[in-house]
Amino acid sequence: MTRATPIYLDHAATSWPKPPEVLAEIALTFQTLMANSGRSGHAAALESARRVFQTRAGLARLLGAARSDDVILTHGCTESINLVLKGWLRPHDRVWVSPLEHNAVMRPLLRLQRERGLVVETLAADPRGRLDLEALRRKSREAAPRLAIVQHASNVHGVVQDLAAIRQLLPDCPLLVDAAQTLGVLPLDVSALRIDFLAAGVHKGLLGPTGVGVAYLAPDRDVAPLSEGGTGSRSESLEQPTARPDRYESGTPNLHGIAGTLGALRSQPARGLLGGHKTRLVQLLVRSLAEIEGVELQSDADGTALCASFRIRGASPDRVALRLERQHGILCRPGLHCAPAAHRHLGTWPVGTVRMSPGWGTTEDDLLAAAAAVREIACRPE
Amino acid sequence: MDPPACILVFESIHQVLAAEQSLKEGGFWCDLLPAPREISSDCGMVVAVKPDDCERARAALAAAFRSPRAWYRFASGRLVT
Repeated sequence: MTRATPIYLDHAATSWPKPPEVLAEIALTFQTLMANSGRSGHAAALESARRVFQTRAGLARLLGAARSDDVILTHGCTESINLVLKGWLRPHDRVWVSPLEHNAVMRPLLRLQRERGLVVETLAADPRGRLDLEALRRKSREAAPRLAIVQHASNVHGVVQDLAAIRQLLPDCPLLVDAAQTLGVLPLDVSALRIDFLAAGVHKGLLGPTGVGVAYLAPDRDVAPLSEGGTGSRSESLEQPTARPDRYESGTPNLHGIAGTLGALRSQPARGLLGGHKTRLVQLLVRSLAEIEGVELQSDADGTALCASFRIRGASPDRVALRLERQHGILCRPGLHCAPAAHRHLGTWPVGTVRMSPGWGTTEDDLLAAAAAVREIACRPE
Repeated sequence: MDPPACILVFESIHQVLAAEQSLKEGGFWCDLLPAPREISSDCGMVVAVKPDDCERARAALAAAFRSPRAWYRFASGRLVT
């Protein structure tokens, strides 16, 4: 490594560093008595329950949810997606998906396709994967499917879908938004957009810890729970409670992670949403990369991408990433990014791309150094 | 409180805390207590309000879509519905 501190450009995988409030809240849970939320009537259990309540209320505000009861705390975005897919879809249901979906959507969907006979259709899109709104308008004349699934922003190359336009074209279609890349980054308002289901983790754009996710379930959508068990409520009954959020939150919650999420939420107003910061940085990066002979870009410099994806002619992405780390101290992610469907659509299957994703704390100098390193590698690809 | 006069029972600790928030925002005094043994509590905690506030507090919670699942008063040292 050529730097004392590496340049971290893998924020699409997870953010680093975390705000001091996150560390402080997590430390507090180890330094003070952290009893089990909702399990007992003593003051320490009540204090834990208050932290969970405040976290849920903060996430509800961030998402524009009218009731915090509809904000379910999970162990990550993947679990949130699984909850919706397995609890909402019935045998032989029709499902529409965007072509850019992550394996967090495609793998459970494929399993349900086999086990429940789902009919899965991929929506038409432009070469970058943005949904073709004219084609969607035509498709909307068909009977509405049980569910349409849209990744708000691609984890591969950062393209952002126009949720408002999609909702307008599909007014009666239940909509699941995978907001893994956009929670804490772009404005989200499930009430204004009438989003039925939203899934996200807190460790990316929100800068929270890993191991905590959120699932928003619209009040009128009856979703079966993913698991049953102890909730601290209705203990006299062998039946799962029906009231939200307990219906979906069996077992002891990740209280340390939830406390860290509370810290992230408390730090967020001062920082604001990261979208503008990330977009400016990605524009700079993409423009710099576009000037390099031998670089093929999958992201645009027009301010519509949240990360930059590219290849260098004559060099495999894994070799490029290895050289970026070993020779230049730059950390990024090569390959398929757990999104083979997206790479098939982009024409970058099966080798994939190199993804550079800036975030909180990334500077313009970091990106200029990254572009210079790419230039050096491109001059001598292998 | 002497004695805890009006006891409001909810479905979950989340609803207990949401009700507490609504009541405090409405200017009501309230306290969270371990559920009295006579009550088959849903979450181990209940909300107690002053006896004179009981009707108004329940109306305020209903307006906030936070109605309790059940409520009790103390009478002659016993909880009654």
